[in-house]
Amino acid sequence: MTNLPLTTTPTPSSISLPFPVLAGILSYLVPGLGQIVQGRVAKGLLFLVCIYSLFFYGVYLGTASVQLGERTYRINSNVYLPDIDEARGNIPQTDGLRSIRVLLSSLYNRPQFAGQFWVGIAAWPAIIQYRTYDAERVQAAERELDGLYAELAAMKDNPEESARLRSRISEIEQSPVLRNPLLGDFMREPSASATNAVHNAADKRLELAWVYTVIAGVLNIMVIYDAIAGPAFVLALAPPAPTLQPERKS
Amino acid sequence: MTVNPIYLIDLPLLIVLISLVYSATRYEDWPSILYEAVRWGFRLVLFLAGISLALYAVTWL
Repeated sequence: MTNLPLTTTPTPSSISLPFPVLAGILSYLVPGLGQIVQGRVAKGLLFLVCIYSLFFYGVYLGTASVQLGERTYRINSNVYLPDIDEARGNIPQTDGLRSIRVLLSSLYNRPQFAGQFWVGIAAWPAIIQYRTYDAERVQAAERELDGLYAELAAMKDNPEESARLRSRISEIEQSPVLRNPLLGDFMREPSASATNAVHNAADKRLELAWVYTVIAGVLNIMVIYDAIAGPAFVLALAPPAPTLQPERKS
Repeated sequence: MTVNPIYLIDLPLLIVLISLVYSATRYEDWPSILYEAVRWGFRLVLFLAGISLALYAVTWL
């Protein structure tokens, strides 16, 4: 394979990069926005379209639901950060770094989010969901739902009781314990039963899906670097042709 | 060996987008970006084809 037919140099001195730090922050928030602010509009749009295409296609692939009996199990996006209840139980309340330790424990259980985070604002719903997730109350609601669905399956011949159970199920499923009032269950940690049910039914696409979102986040780290420091290689001016100096006569 | 046809859409998309973004972080001018993107796309295809062949060979062992 031939090399680039262009002279390159690793010094990005010939490109104007105004507001490098601001551009880096903007490119974190929205991929390519920093480049657009710097006047490199076409390149910024390329980053925006490519990275958001990868990320949201991954989110689309990672969203699935399956109906088992009366119950619908749903995973709404594969971008989420789990709230590790065991970590909260194991780390004492008096620990000054408790919230950081719980966060690290959550990332240890879902390392994909460490890559997805870098896509910027598009991954923030997962952070909001993580902050508002109350593991104890969610588990209690899930247990109640399991019981209600089991009762419902046994009450098929009793329409009045079935209607009452369905009403209660709907009430719990729509409650703020299981759904964020603003985001619903978008980028929310799915329940273990939903994860098991959907993964058993949805081929391998859910596994493929997080690859897209993680790659989008990791690529955006390079985009942020490009906004701050410019591209790794830029075209160099051709070196001046050697000129013959006339000999001095003594 | 059966392959879900949807993967034939997913994979090229991944290769094209990764190649373009990576190349655009390496170069500033469009001819260089596109040239490098084609090279990276080609390398990725070769790498994935190699892995596929190796895995296919393993199934015969």
